[in-house]
Order: sequence, then C-alpha cells, then structure tokens
Amino acid sequence: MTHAADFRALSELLTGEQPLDQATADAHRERLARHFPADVDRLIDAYRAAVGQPDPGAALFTAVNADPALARLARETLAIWYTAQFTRPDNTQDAPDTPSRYRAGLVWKVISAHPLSAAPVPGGYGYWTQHP
Amino acid sequence: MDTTYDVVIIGAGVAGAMCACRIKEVKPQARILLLDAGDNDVDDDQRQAFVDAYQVSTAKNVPSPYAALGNNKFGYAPSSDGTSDPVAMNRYYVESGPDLFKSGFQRMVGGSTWAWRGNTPRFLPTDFDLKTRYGIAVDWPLTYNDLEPYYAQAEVELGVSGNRDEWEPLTPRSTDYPMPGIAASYGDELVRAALADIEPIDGTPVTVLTTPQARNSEEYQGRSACQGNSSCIPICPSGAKYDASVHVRRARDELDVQVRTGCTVARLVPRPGNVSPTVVFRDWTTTERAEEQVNGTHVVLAVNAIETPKLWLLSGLDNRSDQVGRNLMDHLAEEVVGLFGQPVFPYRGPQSTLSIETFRDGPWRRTTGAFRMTIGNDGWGRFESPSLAVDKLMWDPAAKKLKHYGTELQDALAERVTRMLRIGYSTEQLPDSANRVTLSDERDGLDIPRPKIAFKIDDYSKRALAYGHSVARRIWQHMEDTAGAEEIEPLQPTLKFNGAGHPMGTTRMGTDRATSVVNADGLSHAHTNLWVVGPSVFPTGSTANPTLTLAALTLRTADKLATTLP
Ligand SMILES: Cc1cc2nc3c(=O)[nH]c(=O)nc-3n(C[C@H](O)[C@H](O)[C@H](O)COP(=O)(O)OP(=O)(O)OC[C@H]3O[C@@H](n4cnc5c(N)ncnc54)[C@H](O)[C@@H]3O)c2cc1C
Ligand code: SF4
Repeated sequence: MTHAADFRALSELLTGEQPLDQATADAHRERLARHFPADVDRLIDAYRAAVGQPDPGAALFTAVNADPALARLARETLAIWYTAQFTRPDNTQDAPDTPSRYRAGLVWKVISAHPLSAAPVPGGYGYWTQHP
Repeated sequence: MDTTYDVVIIGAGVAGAMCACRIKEVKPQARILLLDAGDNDVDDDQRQAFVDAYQVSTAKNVPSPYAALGNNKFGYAPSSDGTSDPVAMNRYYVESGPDLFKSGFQRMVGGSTWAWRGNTPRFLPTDFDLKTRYGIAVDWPLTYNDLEPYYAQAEVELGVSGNRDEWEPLTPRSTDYPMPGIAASYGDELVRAALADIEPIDGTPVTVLTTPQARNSEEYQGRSACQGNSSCIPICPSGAKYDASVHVRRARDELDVQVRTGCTVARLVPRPGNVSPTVVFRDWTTTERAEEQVNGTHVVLAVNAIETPKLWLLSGLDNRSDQVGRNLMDHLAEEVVGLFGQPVFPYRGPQSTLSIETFRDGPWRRTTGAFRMTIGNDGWGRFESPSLAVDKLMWDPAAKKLKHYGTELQDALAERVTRMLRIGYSTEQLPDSANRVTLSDERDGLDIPRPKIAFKIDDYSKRALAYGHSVARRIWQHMEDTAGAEEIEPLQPTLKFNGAGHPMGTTRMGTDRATSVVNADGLSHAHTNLWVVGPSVFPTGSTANPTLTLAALTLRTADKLATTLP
C-alpha cells in the first residue's frame, strides 16, 4: 500500500468513519507533514504494524499512546478530520485550508447539525423545528 | 466634490443609514451626503466573501469575517475586536480599567449590525423613568408612549418578527409585528415544556416568550426567510437577519443619497455664526490621504457610543455639561450551562429564539439591576465550542494520551454536544459618570487619537450578575429535578461577565443642558444644527438590546430634522 492510502486507512481507524475521501486525506496529510515532518511517517509505520493485529484500531490506539509524539499527531489527525483545523507544535492553530474543507468537517455530522454558516440542504425556513 | 449639502451624516451604520433614508423619504429634494470610514461593498459578493473568511478563520469570533478589511488591516479606521481578551480589546481601545470594557463594534459600511445577533425587544415603559419610580439613575426626557409610534415604524424598517399576543402586556403596541414570531427549535420546545410547570422564583413567574428579532420568518422586502445557518453572530449568509447594508443600498440606489466610503472623519470644526460645524475627513483609500472638508446645513453624528464622544472631544466641541464621553454603559452578560436530560440538538436554526422577560423589572431594582434571560440554541456558546468538545473528549492533556477514538469518540461527542444548553442573562448597568471615553495619547493609522476607556463594574451591577446567576441556577435546578439535566456550571456566581456589544450613554439626552449633551430630539444643546443618533444618546440602558430603541429614536430625530428643511 502507498503512503497516501495508508494515511487514509489509519484515519478511518482513528475516526471510525468509512470510507474517507482520498483527496481530502492527501490534503490533510500534507498539512500535517508540514508541521510534524518526522512523525507522519512514523504514524503510518505504526498503522502498518497494527493492521496485522486482530483488532487493528485497538492496536493502533495502544501503539500511539506508548509514544508521546505519535499520540500528539494522532490527536491532530483526529482534529483535522473533525474540524479541518489542528494545533501546530508551537500551539498556534492551523486554519481550515478552504471553506469547503471546513464544511466537510466530521464534527457537524456527528452532532446531527450542519456547519455553522452553511445551512443544510435540503433545509429551508423552519427545518430546525424538527428532530434531525 | 460639491461641498454644500442640506445634511451631512457621519456613519453608515443602522443609525446613520436609516436617518438618511427617512429624511430623503420625507424631503425628496434634500441633498444628503452619507460618509463612512469603511470601504467594503454591501452586495451579495461581499457577503459571500465574509462567509468564506469566517469559514477559514481559526477563532470564528466576532471580527473573523471582517479582519481583512483594509481599514482594520492597516489601522486607518480600526474596529474594536469585541472579545473578552484584554490584548485583543486593546489593539484599538486603550483601556485604563479597573475593569475591562469588553464590547467592540465594526467600523465598516453597514456598521456593527453586520455582526449583531438581531434580537429586538422594546424597552419596558418603566425603563424610561427609573428616577421617578425607583429613585435611581435618571429619567428619560420622553416616555414609552412618546416613542411607541416610532417603535412600530422601526420594526417595519428592520423587519421584526414577533408575536403580538405574547408581548402586548409587557410593551403595549399600536400595531402587529411585520412578521409572525420566528419558529422555535426542536430543543427550544423541549425546554419550554420542561419549564411549563416551574414555580415562580422569589414570587416572579418564569414565562418563556418568543424573542422579537430582526430576522425574517418569511420573505420580507426582497430578503429571504431565515435559512437557519446558525451563524447570526458574526455573519448571516442569507441576509435574512437585518443589517444596515439594507439602508445603505436603499439610500444609495433608490433615494439618491450620495454615499462616500473609505472616508474617515477626523474632526469637526465650529464655524463662526449660527451654523453647523465643518466636517473634515480623509479618504484613506487614496495615496495622499489628504484632508477634505464639507459643509452641511445640518450635521448628524452617527458613529456609535465610542466614536461619537471621541470625535466630539477631539474636535473641541462644547462640553460645558462635562457629560461628553461619560456614562458609558453595556449589558454585562453571563450564562449558566448544563446538559439537558435528552438531546436538544443545538446549532440548528437561529442562535436564540426564546427568552424570559419577567426579571426585567421589579421592586428589587432599587438596589439590584434587572436582567433579560435568553435560552440559547447554540450549545454552550462561548463556554465550549464543538471543536473544543472534540478535544476534551479525545485528549487527556495531563497524560498526553488519546482517551477515545473511532465510533466510541463519535458516540461520546454526540451524547454530550447534542444535550448542551445555555441559559444566558444580560444585566442592567446604571450610568456612572466615571465610566467614560476620553482621548488617548496613542494614535491610529491616520494619526487620530484612539479612544481611552475607563470602566468599573459597580455594586449594583455585581448584585445584578449575582441575582441573574441565582435565577438561572434555580431554573437549571428545576430541569435537574424534572428533566434529567446534569453537569450544570458554574454552580456559584463568579461575577465574571462578557460584553454584550452594546456601548451606550456617552452623549446622553435630557432637558437640562447642564447635565446632558442633546435634547430629546437628538439636537445638540450647544451647537446649531448638530444632531446625534445612535445608542450614545440613551440616558439609561434598560435590559433590552439597544438597536430597536436607537432605530426608533433615529426615525424621530430624522423627522424633526426634516421638518426644518425647505
Ligand atoms: C456581537 C454583537 C452582537 C449584537 N447583538 C445585538 C442584538 O442582538 N440586538 C441589538 O439590539 N443589538 C445588538 N448589538 C448592538 C448593535 O450592533 C448596535 O447597537 C448597532 O449596530 C449600533 O448602530 P450604530 O449605527 O449606532 O453604530 P455602528 O453600527 O457601530 O455604526 C457606526 C458607523 O460609523 C462609522 N464610523 C465610525 N467612525 C467613523 C469616522 N470617524 N468617520 C466616518 N465613519 C465612521 C462606522 O464605519 C459604522 O458604519 C450587537 C453588537 C455586537 C458587536
Ligand atoms: S440562522 Fe442563519 S439565516 Fe437565520 S438569521 Fe441566523 S445566520 Fe441568518
């Protein structure tokens, strides 16, 4: 498997969401690699070691939590999928790269809402009176 | 440019732009110039650009859609950021404390209404005579009944949705609202049901009403019904929430008002004789940024409660009353949050649709400020955003380890965020002459002094914050006892507060020129044909959001001014 495919696959394990979009995965991986250059490859290696295990998700979880740098990158990987934004090593924020990536953040779907400033389609006046 | 106008209006926010439209509607021949420091457009493309900027911002705070505007970026007519962060607030204000004045404004064409929430309750009749009734603060020079016809007109101008039968007992009305009340959300109705049987608190009933709001519940004057984007603060993508771009466009495109943007007024210069002052401004979008000047038979200041006194003071205009810049007020706001017993599904629909108005007046007001309460439809609001909730659930910051991942994380997040609810209270603050805007030695990008702000929360306001907490806490207790609510916080009053974005009071109106700056018509006591519109003319601030009241006063002032024109 390629780097690109493996990053997407490990993102699917971390987020519990399947299938994730490959182009988005590529963009997210590149943004993270810019700030965590050494650790992205190590996270992919950890994933490759975990896929052979009976419960790959649990194995990956254990592996990253045994290594603070990997745990941190796993956190930022989850953050970028949920919100298109993550915290850089210097604790500044890396903003969503495009409006559409912001809107595609996983958080909105999980909480049964829609991205703030982007009403649901179909929607229209009063959709909010109904159970989602 | 032609340098003589019947009326020069400074500031194209809701006050200035609405004033221009009204005068022109009454006197179509009037030559009117509307000057504004912002240089943004007021069309759909501009709105979309603000939405895009918001979506890719990291903070999603009030200034995020507008941060890139030239006047802000280069400091030529900076906005105040409007956050609770002292560093951010002091980028434009120079605050001398002891407390932080936390309310900002937007210096842009259309003004602060681009960012406002759009809630538009009227003041109560008792708000106009606090001195007579409770022996506190001052009375207004006009009554609720004097203003009522203008309230009705202002509701038409802004496009207010509301339910007359709910509001008639509190604020008597001569008309229906222009639109039916906004639809409450699924979660709002659960909360309303949970509070249906709550006992009165300290003898005051807890009654839930639909908040009147300048947010369309149906198509209105060419603007769509609310689409429920849930980003009313800081930007409405659909334009269903009123903002003053409505009146700027009407003034410019339909009423032939001359609008000049990118023009920051630097000072007013009194002229000899019985005439209004000359307006001196600089177009910061030109390379020279040279001073230009213009005269009007009338000059109207409409640059909000921070910039109006600043401009007045730096121009050395008459201040024998010593009231210019004093009595700065806001509504200090706080909230008690918790998890409701079942999902309320926040972040769907307008940020707030329901309110509790019964604590806005009562005999305790002699010693303790009143407050308005709102039921939020935006989760925990500023307390914990959805992205912060993600981080809290997945990450253990002490151990530096992941706590949850995968579908388990999804489930935990859904469980928590869909139950988030906040009950906010926004308190009354009395005029205090020591709370004031003066001139700082520090200057902005056009070498104009920045406003210096002294601000202190007095005991009256602290008691209001404490009582607001106590009532909100008891409402939550009821929901804990009957509707499975939990994780309520803060349990004790903290006396912390947020700004409401409502600067008021700094050029107050009154009948006595020794204690006020303008008369009940908004006309300067001291200067011929110099008028003020906007929240700076409020003698007291009530508990209601200010904009409907300032709009009503603006229409009244515009009518008075128009009658003097040929
Ligand atoms: C986050 C937020 C939420 C709010 N929510 C509500 C709400 O729910 N309900 C409510 O009633 N109110 C609300 N408000 C308050 C509301 O926005 C203001 O009351 C209202 O916008 C004031 O209108 P204004 O025209 O007096 O001033 P502004 O809207 O501030 O307009 C002033 C205008 O003057 C221009 N200007 C300033 N200085 C100069 C200069 N030197 N030369 C030329 N032009 C200048 C500015 O560019 C601007 O266009 C909120 C405010 C904020 C910030
Ligand atoms: S909910 Fe959306 S469409 Fe409605 S007023 Fe707020 S931002 Fe505008």
